[in-house]
Amino acid sequence: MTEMNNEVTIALKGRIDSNNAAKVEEEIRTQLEGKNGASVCLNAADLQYISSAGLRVILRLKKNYPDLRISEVCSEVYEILDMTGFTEMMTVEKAYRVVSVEGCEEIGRGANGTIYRIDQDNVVKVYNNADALDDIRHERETAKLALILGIPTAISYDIVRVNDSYGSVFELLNASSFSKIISTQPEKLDWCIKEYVRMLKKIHSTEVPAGKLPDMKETVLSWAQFMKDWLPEEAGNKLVKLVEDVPHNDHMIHGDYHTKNLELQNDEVLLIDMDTLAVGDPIFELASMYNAFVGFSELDHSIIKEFQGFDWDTAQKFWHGALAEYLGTENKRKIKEVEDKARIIGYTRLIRRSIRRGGMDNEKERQKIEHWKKELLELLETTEKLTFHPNELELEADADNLEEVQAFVGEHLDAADCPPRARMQIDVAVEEIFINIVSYAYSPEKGNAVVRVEVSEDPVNVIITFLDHGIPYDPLKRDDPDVTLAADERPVGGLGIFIAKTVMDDVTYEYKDGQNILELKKNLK
Amino acid sequence: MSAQKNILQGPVIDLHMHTTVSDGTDLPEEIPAKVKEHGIRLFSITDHDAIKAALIVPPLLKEGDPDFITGVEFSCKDELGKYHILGYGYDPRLPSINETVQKGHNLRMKKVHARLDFLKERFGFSFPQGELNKLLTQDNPGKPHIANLMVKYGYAKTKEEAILDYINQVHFHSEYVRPEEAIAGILGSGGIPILAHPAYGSGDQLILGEEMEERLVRLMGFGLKGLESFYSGFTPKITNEMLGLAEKYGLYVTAGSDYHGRNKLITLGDNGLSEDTVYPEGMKRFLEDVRRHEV
Amino acid sequence: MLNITKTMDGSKAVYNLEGRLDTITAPDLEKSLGDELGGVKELVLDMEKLEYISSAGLRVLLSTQKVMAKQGEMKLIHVNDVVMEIFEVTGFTDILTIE
Repeated sequence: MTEMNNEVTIALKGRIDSNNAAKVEEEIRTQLEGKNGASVCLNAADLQYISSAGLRVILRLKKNYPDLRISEVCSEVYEILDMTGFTEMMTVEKAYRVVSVEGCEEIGRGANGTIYRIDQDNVVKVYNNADALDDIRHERETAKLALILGIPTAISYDIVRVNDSYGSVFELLNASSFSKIISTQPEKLDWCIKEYVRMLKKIHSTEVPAGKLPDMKETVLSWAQFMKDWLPEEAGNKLVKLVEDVPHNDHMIHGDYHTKNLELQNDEVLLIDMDTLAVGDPIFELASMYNAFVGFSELDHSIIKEFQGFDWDTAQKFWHGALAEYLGTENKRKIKEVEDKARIIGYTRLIRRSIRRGGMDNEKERQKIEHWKKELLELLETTEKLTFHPNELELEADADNLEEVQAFVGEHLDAADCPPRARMQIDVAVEEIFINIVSYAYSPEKGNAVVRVEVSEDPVNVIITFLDHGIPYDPLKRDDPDVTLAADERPVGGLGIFIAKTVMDDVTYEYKDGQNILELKKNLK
Repeated sequence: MSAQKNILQGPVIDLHMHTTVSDGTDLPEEIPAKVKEHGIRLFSITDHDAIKAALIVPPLLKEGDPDFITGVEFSCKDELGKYHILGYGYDPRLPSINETVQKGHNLRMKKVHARLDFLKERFGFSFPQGELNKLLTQDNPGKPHIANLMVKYGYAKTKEEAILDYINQVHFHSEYVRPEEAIAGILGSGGIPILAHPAYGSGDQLILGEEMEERLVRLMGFGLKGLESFYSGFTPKITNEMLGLAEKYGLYVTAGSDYHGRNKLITLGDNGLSEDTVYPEGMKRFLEDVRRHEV
Repeated sequence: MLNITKTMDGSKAVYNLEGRLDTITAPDLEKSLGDELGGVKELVLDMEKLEYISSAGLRVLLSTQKVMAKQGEMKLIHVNDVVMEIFEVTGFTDILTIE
């Protein structure tokens, strides 16, 4: 007998029939002496059979303890209780079906459990934690929430026992994980990247009602705090500050978004393994993606093969392809910028994980920790914030970078189906403005410029913003050149800003927070 | 008396209880006061294979005491199963019911002797002649009585141990009164035969649905007239199924607790009837048709 | 990227321009013209394959026009729509000879 939260649980064992019903009843009564008004739960996990003599015991008990419930009832006993109407009179909870995963294909593995296919239509997620009932309920709730918010996912319909732990069962008909598709059909890599990113963007654009999901920032902040003991003071402080400075974001992140957690079922892409769902800045997601495809296997390339089923080179191709697709650019500088931010959090997590698993006591692990730490310290030197703007590129204001700026803007224009004529006009305007910054903002010193591309829908407007920290200068104040002058009267130059003003619908300038901000706007219809 | 009959309502009827004449712990003489205490207005004592109480109780009843109906519960068996058949309103002075009781008693005594012989042969258990005489002159001795003796003389620690580890070690092809004999005996003395706790068979089976209906139809063929649809061990679902059968076949409906005194944790009057229960037609008819004998 | 193909025929020079005439490539054209224009009376810029022009390109065209006005003539042929639009908004259509 156990007592918890004013509920007395009594275990029933073996068989209860006319031979022992009286004795069982007496034992129960003895155990319940002085517990009038208690809630009573009969745990039937070890009850194999109950005859009508046993039923009468329960019925009488129910009369004295109206809250009586029976838990973990095996199917044979449940059938009897159902047939006789006991299930209508009181709470009768079925025992968890026992499922074996021996020899079953492992189709996914996450932080809290491993997913196996148990037959053609069903998979079971076996939790690492032996006492996982709360975790299972949590995941079911989170999955339901995600589904309500429009994220396609599988929701478990049954809880089972697997060895000494619990599993939740999902229907997953004819589904293949993206890892499996990539390993067996390499020609589908690009398609997988596109779908993977499409889902990722869907997740990141999903707003979650306050309080429904944990805030990933708090988790990452705790990792950063942990790291303070293992990094030079200045670096530790900077790491914490970088995380602290990430603004609150109430959009969803999956938290363990790798290719084993994405399933293709009858042409529909489904997200599984929802227990890590949280809200937070996308950089937190990218950090865990970085670890999944790179971080965990960076020092031992065989790990990725073991975990995902495809090799290191494929993983790198996938990761960079996905990052490029997610950011909407092939721009290497941009991709590296975001990857470096992800690596800061990624390494933080790897180091913490290794240390907590006793890594400092193991020579091999200690070498890994040292490597990650070195990388982390270098990254911290050059990083000023963890957040990123996918449509923003920062680079040195140098004419050699013009082509890169134009290509970056061009990618976003292509994505917005910009007509060729407007594309050319914008191209020219971008050149004129960027070259203007190159020529005047920092001269003769060097400095950076930021270009940001935003495309709004309905009406489709492109807004390109240039920012620099150079000397305050409003190029729009310059008088327009007299375009009616004859060739030998025209000054060579001074046309650039005029062209930009002419081909764009709107050009504005402001100086704010120490920055020149020049905005180009063009309507694409 | 008929006026009183008509105003019966709610849990004021208990037509199934046992006394020391069989395996209860209350003397028949103690019953009237106890049922009155429980607010019961109509009762019947239904000892196993014995009708002694039907002679003892009526003379004791005074003005204002609950109404009494003669009763009995026969343990029956045939090739197809075991049954407990209740008989109500018979005249206890008539030979028919007495012959059936006698037959049941003889079969029971035969079994007691066989068990005692077995215990002596197999385990060497013996008891003083005085104790044996007391046992054999009881109205209705059985396993529990033998078990009590074993505990008393140190052959077993508890009654359950005595039954499970020793008495049940041999299974007799036990003879019982056949259901058609019990039904005929009841009918022959002006009584109404009713199937006790129908869904539970002879007490510990679970018989529902088609199986129950087949069994009922067979017993009706012998002259069975009703079902104990309200019973302390029934859930509302089982009661409803029994009421459905009673209605389908136009049978009487009765209500009983199966009270055994201190031997079982059953309260007098506990039979599933509540203040809100609307008595089914079959029960109203039973209450009108059953005879109340003045003995 | 700008590909410049020159064809000299006595005092006539034909320049085929292919690609983009922008900040990066304009100096190339400027240098090429500066080296070759001595003695040229007729300069033809074939822009059939010129996809793009920015103010840096315009600047080169304007300085070249000023030089050529003194020693002969300069004309642009096969100008496509997008480049023409830049000429138009900047008044270059009035300055240059465009066929």
